[in-house]
Amino acid sequence: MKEIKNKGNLKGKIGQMEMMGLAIIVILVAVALLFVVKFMIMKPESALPVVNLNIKANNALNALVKTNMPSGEETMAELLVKTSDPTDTVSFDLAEQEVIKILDASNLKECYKLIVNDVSIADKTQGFEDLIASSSYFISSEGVDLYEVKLYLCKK
Amino acid sequence: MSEINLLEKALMEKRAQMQTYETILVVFIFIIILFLGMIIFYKFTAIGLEREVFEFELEKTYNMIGYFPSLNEVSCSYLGTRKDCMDILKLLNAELALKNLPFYDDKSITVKIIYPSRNDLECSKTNLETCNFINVNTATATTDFNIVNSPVSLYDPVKDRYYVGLLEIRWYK
Repeated sequence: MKEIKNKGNLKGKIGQMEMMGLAIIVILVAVALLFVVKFMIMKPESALPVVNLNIKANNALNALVKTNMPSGEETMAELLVKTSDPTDTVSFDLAEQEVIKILDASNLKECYKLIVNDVSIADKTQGFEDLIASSSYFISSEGVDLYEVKLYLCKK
Repeated sequence: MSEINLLEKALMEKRAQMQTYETILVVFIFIIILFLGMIIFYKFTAIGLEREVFEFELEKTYNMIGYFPSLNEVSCSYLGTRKDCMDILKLLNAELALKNLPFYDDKSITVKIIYPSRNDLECSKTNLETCNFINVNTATATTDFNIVNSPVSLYDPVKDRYYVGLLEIRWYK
């Protein structure tokens, strides 16, 4: 009878040890999975797209400001200077129209904002707040006034 | 007493058999899990490597978008000073000048004139006023390409006018 009781105790102990072994295996698998998640799935976000967008913004602004208008010798920079005059709505409307035409064709996902001296000429950001700004481009008019032009692109 | 012993012995043998089966089953399941793990690891590694190659090529192309317009072979200049634009006449003849550069084999480079808008026509020396794209280089491969582009300023030295262009670089797998 005592022998049978001892055997029962032994079985219980073996069961406990197997449970411990199982628990250790589960912990090892969980740790391995954690490593997989950390190193393979959760890769740090690359800064490349942001750098590229910044290059794009600077290139687009440079091309936009330098370009000649199709009708005549006037450049976009000269037209943008004219928009600072609040009474000249014709120039403002023309600048807005041409800027939208150029930036829509420039493959910028149609999400941009062009600002001349804090006045928005074209805004297609639709309340999108995650924007990348180009470097400021300064236009000098009659060698005296400086007009700051900036282009913002959406980071989406 | 001997009957009990025999019974216990038979029971022990059965238990031993059961334990052997159990061990075989555990080893079998372990091997299956090991193989599954190896397959998943291989897949993850292969996907990771593919992604690394893609990101490397993307980085190279982003760099190229940055420096290509300022290469002496294509950029415009005035009295020896380089300006931030690409010369259309230089672009027309760039193929020969750029032939020996290392990026030339696997990338197609196209410059499109997007403003003022024009009809789809490849540029040559005779149709600069009406054309809208210049193929600076055409890679030999043509399938499975990725594309990176950026607006650029184009200068027409004949008419002394600036246009807005789109520099497109395609690379192939």
